[in-house]
Amino acid sequence: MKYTGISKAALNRRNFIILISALLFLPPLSLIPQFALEPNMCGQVCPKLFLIIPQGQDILGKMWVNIKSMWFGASLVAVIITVTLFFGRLWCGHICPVGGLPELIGRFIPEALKINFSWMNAPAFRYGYAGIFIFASFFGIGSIACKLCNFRVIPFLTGAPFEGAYAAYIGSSMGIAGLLTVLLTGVFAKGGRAYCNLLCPVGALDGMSNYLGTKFGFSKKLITDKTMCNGCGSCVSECIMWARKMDDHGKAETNRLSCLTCLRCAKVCSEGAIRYERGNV
Amino acid sequence: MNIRAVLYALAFLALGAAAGTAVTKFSPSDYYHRMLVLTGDAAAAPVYVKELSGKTVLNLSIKNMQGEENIVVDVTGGRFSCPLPPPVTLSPKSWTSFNRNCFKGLKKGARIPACLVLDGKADSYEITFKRLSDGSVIKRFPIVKGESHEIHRH
Repeated sequence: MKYTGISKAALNRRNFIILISALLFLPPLSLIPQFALEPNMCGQVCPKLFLIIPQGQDILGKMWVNIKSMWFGASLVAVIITVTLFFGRLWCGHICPVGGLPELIGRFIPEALKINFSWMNAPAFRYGYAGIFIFASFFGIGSIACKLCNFRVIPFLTGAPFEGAYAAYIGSSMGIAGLLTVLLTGVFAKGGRAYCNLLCPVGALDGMSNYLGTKFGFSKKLITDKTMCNGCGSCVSECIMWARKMDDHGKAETNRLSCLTCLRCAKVCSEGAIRYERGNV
Repeated sequence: MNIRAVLYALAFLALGAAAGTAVTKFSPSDYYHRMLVLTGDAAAAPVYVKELSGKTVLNLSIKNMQGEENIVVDVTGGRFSCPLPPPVTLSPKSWTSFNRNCFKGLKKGARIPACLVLDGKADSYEITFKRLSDGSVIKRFPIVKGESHEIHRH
């Protein structure tokens, strides 16, 4: 196997960072949410609810109220998007415990039991869903808000053994629906990242930021040297975000709206055709 | 870019929007988000829920807008719990504690996450917040069956 600049240590380091961030962000420790005096990733730490465009008069005023009441989550998302623009997907790909934990747990599940969503056009589905998340209230068709929110379900799941308030949520219909979402789009999904890929509005924004960052050359990206690619497809089956596809000429390419830069594809490429760097080939 | 790829993308864009719209309609009758604001008169507007016949979970955001530091919670027909403080506290001084039915160290304006599980067997349901110092009522929220027009905001 040719050297691609990606070591096995880099993959192990990513797993280790996800576990550390789970300890930092999720109950029972949840050390970082505690800065906002919150025990989990809801309330002031919620990174999603402030994105919703409200209905009625003074839309900007209402949005500002939401941003102030969810100041920690709004600041977190601003930092995530800015960091992604210049340094790649450090949050979604390496830190986010809400996406990372189901992925890690899913590695212990046999592949035969997993649901393969890779036939879907993930970016199109994701932006359709995110559009409803953001504009549903504005158009008066309801709200997705906390429904099927992994930022709620996963902290409540990890906190349930310690606190009755979390356990009560998991026992309700909403909690069971959330738990099924975590299982079907996380633990039992191919790659373990179907929630991130299809349903997460923060992931949708982060993917756009990554696309712009790589397009303008601010951040590193996965570059496939198609003259070296032998079309074996091993990177396509290894990709946790289904971002690697074969083009019309049988060569693999990356969709940068989806790529998490986890670097697993580069690691499995026997030809050393995938490199992680700035610039174009 | 060929027309087939564009149509394929548009189909999934519509599918994503349809899935999102379906989720907006998902509203189980045993789970609600409600915000309780502790300010003003002791008598508060009722908290409306669509069903009260079975076990019902109310995920509460309580806003302590009147500055009382120590508050006792009394519940009729249910069980109240709060995940404060978390098992491992970063800074004990900054944390509100909740023990049995009593909050201590509340800050004015702070949001208190809490959970109220109604058992579905009582004749009436009510949650009352009282001052620990003299037992006087800060706010009493009857929980009744009916339609709510509350906008969800933390």
